[in-house]
Amino acid sequence: MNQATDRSGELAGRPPNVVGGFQRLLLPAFIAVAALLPMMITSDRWMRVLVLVLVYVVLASGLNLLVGYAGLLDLGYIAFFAVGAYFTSIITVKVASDSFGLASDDLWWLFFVNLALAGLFTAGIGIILGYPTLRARGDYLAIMTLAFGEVVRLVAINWTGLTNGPIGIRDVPTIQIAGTRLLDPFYLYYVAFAIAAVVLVAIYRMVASHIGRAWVAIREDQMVAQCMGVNTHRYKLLAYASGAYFAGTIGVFFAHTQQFINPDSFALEDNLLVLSLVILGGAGTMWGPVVGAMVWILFQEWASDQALVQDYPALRMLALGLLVLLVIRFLPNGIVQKRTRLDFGERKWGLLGRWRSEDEDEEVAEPPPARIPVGNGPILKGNGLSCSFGGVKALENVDIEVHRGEVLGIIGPNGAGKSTLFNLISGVVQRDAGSLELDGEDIDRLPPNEVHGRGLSRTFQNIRVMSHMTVTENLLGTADAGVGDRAAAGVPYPQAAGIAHAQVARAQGVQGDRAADGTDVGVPRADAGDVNVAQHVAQFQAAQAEAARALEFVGVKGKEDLDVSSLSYGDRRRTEVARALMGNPKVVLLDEPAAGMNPSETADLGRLIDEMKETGVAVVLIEHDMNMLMSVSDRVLALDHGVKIADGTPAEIQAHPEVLAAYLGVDS
Amino acid sequence: MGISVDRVIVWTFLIGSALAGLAGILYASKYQFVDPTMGFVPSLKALVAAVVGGIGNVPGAFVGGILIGLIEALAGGYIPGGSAWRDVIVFVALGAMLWIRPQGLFGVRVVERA
Repeated sequence: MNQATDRSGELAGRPPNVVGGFQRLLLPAFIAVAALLPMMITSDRWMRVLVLVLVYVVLASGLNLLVGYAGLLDLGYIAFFAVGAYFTSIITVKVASDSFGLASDDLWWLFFVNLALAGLFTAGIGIILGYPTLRARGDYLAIMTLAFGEVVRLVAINWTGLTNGPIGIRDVPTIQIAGTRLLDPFYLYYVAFAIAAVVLVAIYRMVASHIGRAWVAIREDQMVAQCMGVNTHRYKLLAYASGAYFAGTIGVFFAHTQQFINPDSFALEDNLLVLSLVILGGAGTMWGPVVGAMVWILFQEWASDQALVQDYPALRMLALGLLVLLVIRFLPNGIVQKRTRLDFGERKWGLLGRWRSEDEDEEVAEPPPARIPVGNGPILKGNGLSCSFGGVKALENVDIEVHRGEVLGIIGPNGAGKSTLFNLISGVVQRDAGSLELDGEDIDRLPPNEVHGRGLSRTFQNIRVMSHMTVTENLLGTADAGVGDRAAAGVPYPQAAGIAHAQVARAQGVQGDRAADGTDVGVPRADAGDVNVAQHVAQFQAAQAEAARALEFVGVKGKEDLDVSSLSYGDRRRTEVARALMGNPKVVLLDEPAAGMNPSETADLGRLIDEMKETGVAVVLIEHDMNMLMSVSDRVLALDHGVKIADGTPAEIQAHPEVLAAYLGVDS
Repeated sequence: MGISVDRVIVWTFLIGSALAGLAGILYASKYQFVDPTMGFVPSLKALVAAVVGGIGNVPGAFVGGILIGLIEALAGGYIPGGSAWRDVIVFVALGAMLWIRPQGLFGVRVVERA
């Protein structure tokens, strides 16, 4: 553990992480044993079993990326494995040998080429399948993947010219290196070991970066992830394509070790088997699928020696089913009893990463300049906004204008269209008519993540937090993924909260608007393809520092490491507000933040909104607590039945006849 | 609101399973053949039909079912060698539907409430 990591631990207000001596040795010991295993085992049969274990390790880890991390239920994962296997078999046997008459010994390198190509091929299929499906509801993916599994099986059976149909493809050449055939499972083990190692490191790197944190945020609450700036479709597609890539790659290895494949090599049950291994070991953990695959494949092989199982082979699957049920009942998180932690990569980067420069850490300590609005007009401006669901007009021709540093209260009876207005502004629902501008920039019809990227953030009417994650993790889940997205989109993005900066500036008696240009303040830019360790560490630490500041600002300091579910209601609301403040927004929409709060919590919230306003953030507030709303708002907008009925100072609104009528049911 | 959730779920399952059972009787008497795994592909196609018609829409499911049945039967009959590919054609129809009109023929785009 180096110095930088310790310091970032302190930033988040928790003691530097101490990994126990035993735990620290666990991983290297595991790798050493795995590497030396073939020296100790003389039986060919068990060596083959170990090779199979590694194949399943890769499959389970790849599926875990989808199911465990990104929360995408794929029931046809084996199809990608099959496509990879058929891809290499067709190229080496059907094309190279049969059509061109080339000797497989001369083409030994083709295996290694296919290892890379098959992955690209399956990832491409994954993108074609995933692109439309991942936009739709989650259960569509399960249907689509099942259907894809069937399509692959049917193609393998029926396209006899390409796949030899049910007979399958024989004589797939063994893996060779320059003429030396690696027939001995001893060598095959090392090839599989190398592939598995590369795959696991790749997964580790993705999961430990902002990509993994975005996946977890999507898994926990897709809507929140999107409203906090994560391009959910892109990240889901990335997960799906990566999973497909790994399955295709190991499929190539499988075909060349079996030397024969046919449609029966890839049964429908295998999808459930791999899924079971993921659940068994622990979905959403790095090592769960590895452990699950080892435990089950070894047990299965041992069981096949037993007389009982030899008489009734189906007992094995029955045992697996029972085992999975028992694990779900008694170890709901799987054998590896660790829940997904969003900071685990940061703690362990040193193990796998490249060098880390001290300079990067220094840049983080300095709070970058605040994001100052660039235009002169109102910060948020909506004209003639209309929106209807089916036949119901939720909003009709509503104008809204919010000025910088202003608190605009929105009132109206239930069903007046207040939340719809927020959904419309934040891009969650699309308007039927009207225009929307944020700081002079057209944000009409932008998806929520891009609206967030342009400086508009929000909370939700029913608190939406990841309740079994810690407070800090709730803020981090989306924060630095958003950073990456914005950087990729070329949107300037100063890293730390302008709020914190303004606070510091106030304390020092300095003007808060030190520099308006946020283009280059040593912000680590993350391109989607560039996985630079130092960059990610810096990015993560910046996000962590920003989270600490946001939490301090809203007053949840000292509880950063508690699960959100253990917090009081008020603290959960405050956590949500802190999350909305991440990314230094220009406008924050608060949807009934005081609902369910006691009077003193409400008073604290009022003070918090005042402070937010002082830092220059514009706040739009929906609230049923009239005392609070009227005391913090500069202006109030009243809605009824989707129509704006009044707009003015709190005093004007309180005396407005139509408002009184809407609330009290009096005829005006 | 006074709705017995359990009872509604039980009834939903009951009606759904009864309809599936009915379909099973029709299927078995047409093909004159049963086996334990015969339900997998038809239930998958039922999902496809529901998606094509628009999930959560009764007339949609009806039309989707007829449409999928027709596509399958006509493709099997008219395309040379099509009988081996009819299932594939059905699933491709699903993919096409998700590209063109993800909410299905009669479905309304469902917006998650924030």
